[in-house]
Amino acid sequence: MKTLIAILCLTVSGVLNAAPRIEGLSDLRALERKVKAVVKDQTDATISLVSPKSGSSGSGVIVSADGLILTAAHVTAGSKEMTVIFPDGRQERARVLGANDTRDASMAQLIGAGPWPFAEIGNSDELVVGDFVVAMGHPKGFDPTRRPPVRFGRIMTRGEYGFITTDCTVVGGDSGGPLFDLEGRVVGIHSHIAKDRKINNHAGISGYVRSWDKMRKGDVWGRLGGIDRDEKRPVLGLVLSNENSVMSAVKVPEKSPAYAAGLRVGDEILKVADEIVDDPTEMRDVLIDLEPGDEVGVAVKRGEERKTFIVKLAALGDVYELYLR
Amino acid sequence: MKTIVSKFIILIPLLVSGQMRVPQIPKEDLALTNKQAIEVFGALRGVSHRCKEVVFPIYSFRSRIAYGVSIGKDRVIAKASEVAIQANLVTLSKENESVRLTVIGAYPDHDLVVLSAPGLGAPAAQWSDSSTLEEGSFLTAIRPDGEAQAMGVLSVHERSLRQADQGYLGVAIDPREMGEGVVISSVFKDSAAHKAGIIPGDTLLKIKGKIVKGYYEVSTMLRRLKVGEKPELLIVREGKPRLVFPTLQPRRVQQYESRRMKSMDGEQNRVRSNFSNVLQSDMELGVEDTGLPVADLEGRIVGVVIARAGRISTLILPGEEMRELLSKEPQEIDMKPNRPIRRTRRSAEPMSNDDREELLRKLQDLLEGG
Repeated sequence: MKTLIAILCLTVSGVLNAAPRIEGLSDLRALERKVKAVVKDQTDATISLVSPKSGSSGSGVIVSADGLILTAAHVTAGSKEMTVIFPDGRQERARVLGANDTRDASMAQLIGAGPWPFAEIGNSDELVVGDFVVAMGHPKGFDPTRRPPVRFGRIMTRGEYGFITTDCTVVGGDSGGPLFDLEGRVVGIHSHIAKDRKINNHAGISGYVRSWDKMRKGDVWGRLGGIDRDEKRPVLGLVLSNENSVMSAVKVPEKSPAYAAGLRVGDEILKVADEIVDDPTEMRDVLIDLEPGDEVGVAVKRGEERKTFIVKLAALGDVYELYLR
Repeated sequence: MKTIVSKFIILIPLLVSGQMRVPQIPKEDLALTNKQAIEVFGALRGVSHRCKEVVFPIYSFRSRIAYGVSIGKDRVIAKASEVAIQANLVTLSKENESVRLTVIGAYPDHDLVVLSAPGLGAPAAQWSDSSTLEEGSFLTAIRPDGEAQAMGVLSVHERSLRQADQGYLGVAIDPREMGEGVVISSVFKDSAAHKAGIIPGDTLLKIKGKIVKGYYEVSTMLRRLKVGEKPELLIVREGKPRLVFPTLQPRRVQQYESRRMKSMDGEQNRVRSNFSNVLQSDMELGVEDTGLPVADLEGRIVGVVIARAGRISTLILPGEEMRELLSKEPQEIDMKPNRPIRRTRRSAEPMSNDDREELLRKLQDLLEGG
């Protein structure tokens, strides 16, 4: 946890120069023009989603001409099909695809040929504290008297599992709706809020990108609210130490998938699934896009040698006993 | 009154802290975003300082309860339901002298009250059309000291919040209805549908020539039509098509909101619905911030804050509406001094129609001098 905080601080100090500056009215006017353009271009892709079974309602955003919808996992949970309502009142149907519950991310597919109005996907990894963003959605459900209300705000901080905190106020019914950058690209999906109006949390779009194929295929995995104590959490099956920014294996039980793949005590972990990992939290966050049974490449440094092993992930509950011996 | 909506309960999910770990904003990030906010508000000063001459604080027993906008002739206009029923009303002139305020008139439909402020000497606010705004336009609410109290965007353009302005057919449709044409499950007595001869079991296939594909389409199309309008409906009964032309009635549908939803909205003004023409903004204001003038980035006063109405919503009466309203005389109020006045209790509960009627009745009492 301490390492995580240290990393956040680093991000912030590295960012100080990058946060957008507002030095006068002309900067505000330029910003306003961009916000208005985002609203004009992206409103039609911001849809309301209603569960035909429970009547519960959320929002979503269409991200391809053939009708792929991104929304929140807790909006589609328990539904096979959703009613889609466009801002103009037009009604269509969508089939629910997969979800990564840890990221509160899910997908649905519009039924029908299209082409549908859609928004481009952005990159939430590039966002920095202070970046301006625009939120849309259907707060408190679809309302025929208005289009999706526009909310404007900034990135306030970054959270775990790729979540982004902004001061764009969202409320029930907005869940699953899009957060746009100033170029009108989707960078987040509304997920949850605190009473503090400055804390509105959005699932970062990069998490969707990492889980894309699995979600599209219809896989549902992970756990809402975090997976630390989830016995189904995918793990390599080794115990790590993290000293002086060096993460290495201190215990690799003989019956673990890591041992079977060839990993040994003393190996320094460099990359998992092609992503550089500096500490156990980062490794966990890479693994949340995968499931037990999936195979993942682990790049290590052993002495002066660099090696890559293919590990078949196990569920935490299945290997936990090995750690204790 | 049983209606379409009351047939099923709308559940609206959004996770509230508790289910998810919600991050605190780290100090470094707060420092950075605060610095940025100071920059933004600094940039807004070019706009806000131009408008400060027309806005005044309103105090009751030394606590500020609202703001008022000068309309000339030593008069100020403010939110009636927050101000008119309070006693000991005072404002501060630009020279920092206290000026006693007296209620002299009201525009009850707009929840506005006209206050006399002898010797205030302020110019009248120049109201601009809100039609120049687009959704996403920047807005700022300006305080008497010329600083921005809040900055936000136009979230929703002008619209009526009055249900009675929306067309109502008077039928129930299963919200799960999908596909071309929807089956009418029941017809309310004496409704537009009833009078036009629509009966339960009929399939509504087209509205004004357009095929309808479900409950939400039907509801949206009807609610966007005007009361009194006679849309052409194509009904299919026992396989035979027939055209009917029901005269749409005003909509009167109860809406429900869960306690949890309300708890997320924070404190709201008691009167915050039923306005016939309002703008909606995401400006973060409090219940005591009504009456602030709202300007765009050109420094035009495009409206006045009339209500805080939830976590995401501040309601604004548009400039052109204000201009038209103020061209008419307010309803006169003859205030009797020392009349015992019940202080209103602010609550997060939404105002029911009964509450509103009671409040308007109280206001009416004031209007009629008790």
